[in-house]
Amino acid sequence: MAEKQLTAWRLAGENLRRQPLRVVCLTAVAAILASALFGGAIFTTGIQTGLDVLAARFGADLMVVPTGNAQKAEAVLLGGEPNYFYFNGEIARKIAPTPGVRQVSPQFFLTSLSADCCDLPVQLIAFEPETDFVVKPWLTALPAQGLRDGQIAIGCDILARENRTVKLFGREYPVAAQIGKTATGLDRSVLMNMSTIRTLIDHAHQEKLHFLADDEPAGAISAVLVRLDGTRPPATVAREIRRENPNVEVVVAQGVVQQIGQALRRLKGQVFAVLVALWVVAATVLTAVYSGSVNERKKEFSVLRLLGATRAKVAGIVLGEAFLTASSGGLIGVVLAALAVFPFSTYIGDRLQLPYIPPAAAYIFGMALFSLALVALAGLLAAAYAAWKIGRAETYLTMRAGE
Amino acid sequence: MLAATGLTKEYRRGGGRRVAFNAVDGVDLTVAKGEIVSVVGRSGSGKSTLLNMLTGLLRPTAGAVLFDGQDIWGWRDAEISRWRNTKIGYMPQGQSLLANLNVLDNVRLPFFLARRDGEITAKALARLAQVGIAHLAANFPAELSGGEARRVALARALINAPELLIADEPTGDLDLATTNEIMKLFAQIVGDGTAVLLVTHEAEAVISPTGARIYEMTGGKLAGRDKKVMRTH
Ligand SMILES: Nc1ncnc2c1ncn2[C@@H]1O[C@H](COP(=O)(O)OP(=O)(O)OP(=O)(O)O)[C@@H](O)[C@H]1O
Ligand SMILES: [Mg+2]
Repeated sequence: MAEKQLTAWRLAGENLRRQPLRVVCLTAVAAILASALFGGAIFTTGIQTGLDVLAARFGADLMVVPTGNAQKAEAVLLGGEPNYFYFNGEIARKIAPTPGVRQVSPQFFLTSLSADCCDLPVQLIAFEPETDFVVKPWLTALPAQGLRDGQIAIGCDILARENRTVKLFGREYPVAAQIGKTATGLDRSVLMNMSTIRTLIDHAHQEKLHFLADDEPAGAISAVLVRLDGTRPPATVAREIRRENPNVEVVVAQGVVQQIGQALRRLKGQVFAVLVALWVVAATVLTAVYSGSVNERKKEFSVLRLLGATRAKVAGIVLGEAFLTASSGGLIGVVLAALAVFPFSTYIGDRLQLPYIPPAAAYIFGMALFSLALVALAGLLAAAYAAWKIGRAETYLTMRAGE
Repeated sequence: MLAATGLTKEYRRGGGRRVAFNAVDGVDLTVAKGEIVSVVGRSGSGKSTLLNMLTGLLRPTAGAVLFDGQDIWGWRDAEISRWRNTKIGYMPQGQSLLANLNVLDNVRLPFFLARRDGEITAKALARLAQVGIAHLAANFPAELSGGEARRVALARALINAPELLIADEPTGDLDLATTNEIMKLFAQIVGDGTAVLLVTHEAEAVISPTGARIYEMTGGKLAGRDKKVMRTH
């Protein structure tokens, strides 16, 4: 039978086993540190990724919408409520000649509560294939001609039926493509061309469904997406479009991305401040606890020295205890943070009006290891002072009666 | 085997002015192989301080400690620890068992403090039997009486078969009958060829094992005492 060796590790473990309260406190501190570090990193990285995707995916420089609808339009972009609003289709033609404008393309919005695909209302977006420059890049999987009449493309949060169709207003439409996660309103959108949406509205009328758009003159649109040629600043072009067309508002895409970027920077700053505060407090607490416990355990350590343990061995026991508590606490913290961040991050992102895309598995794994390592290191460093005090053994090794 | 010459430890005490005094003052002492030596002295006379210097735990202000002719204070910590672990068995003053380990592990502990091969559990159980408490192997120190705890400390000091057993007031707070039993164990250990250096109060000294060479310690100074212990057990 192999003997159970009394290694420094086992001594450390045995000491911890007999001091549950101390272990619980030390583990909890480590867990809080690790969860804050890991959770904060994963969450802010997720939003950074979301922002990058948004900036890359949103190909238009300006979005022209009817007066009073700028916020609704931003909501459509960023994943708030689906919305619809209309103005005369002539607007597109009037904007096109504005200096600095390279290309314009109209879009038509509709919302559907009745789609059987999803719990939430769905945003229907129709585009004009001849002029479109926004939607096409999203549909890279499709053949060159893009979406054909009658076909739709769906965002990543929309579930197609088994026969790869989505039922809208009582009819099934074949899904030609599904768009990857963007963490924007696009995830809950259905895309189609202008003639498909006219057919869809006709069918809906046959089902006795009516829309606000019915009252609009034929050719009404919801937005004009504008690409600039780069010769003039977006804000200048936006101002000129507003001056020439009294009934429109202009959303500057760069502005939206910048706003989110600012919000993200603020969030990162807050997360960072919380992390720094936590680490300072924890480092102080841990160092105090460890060096306090050395005073308390003078006797135990001097006995070990009397029995022939080297200074290094005694220090090793203290460091071993610190490492065991810090790393197990770190592991608990990472797991708890994962349980909080992964199921709820999309929801939190929505509430903050920030796009969130979960980081890649490799990044998550690496970050988990990094958090663990850092917390274990912090535990070791906090205990290092205590271990050093033991190294100066002479000061306490005289054992006297009554001690 | 063990020889101390001019061993001195200076301490400072008393708040601001810090008066220096010698807790141990120019002590010469020898312990030969297989011999039993007893140091008797009142509380505060410097006995524990002396033992700590003899075992390489507390650096002397002056003087030397030789073991088999070698100056132990010239060694590095690793060497001195190894020496203490293999050649010396130490029974510290007061309760000295590790509360987090059971009796068996307390006894086995010194074996694992240096790199060693071989089995130890059987030896540890034999030592526990030798001191008469084999049945307590699985108990924790908090569950032991004072006399039982001393026996465990003795078994622990003997586990690596040391050449010199050092005991600091091993029966300090025990009743007479128990003290007697423990002293019998010391006599038996000397009989097995291990040298013993025993530090005791005046009261304990009366029942020191037969044949002990006795030193008397007063105010840090050590003097030989001619009268051998009269009583036998
Ligand atoms: N670290 C220290 N600093 C200052 N004085 C000390 C220190 N350690 C011991 N002393 C003093 O040195 C003297 C000798 O102490 P020591 O512990 O050696 O006595 P002792 O003979 O073992 O006593 P007891 O029988 O009570 O154990 C005492 O007066 C004690 O107060
Ligand atoms: Mg003493």
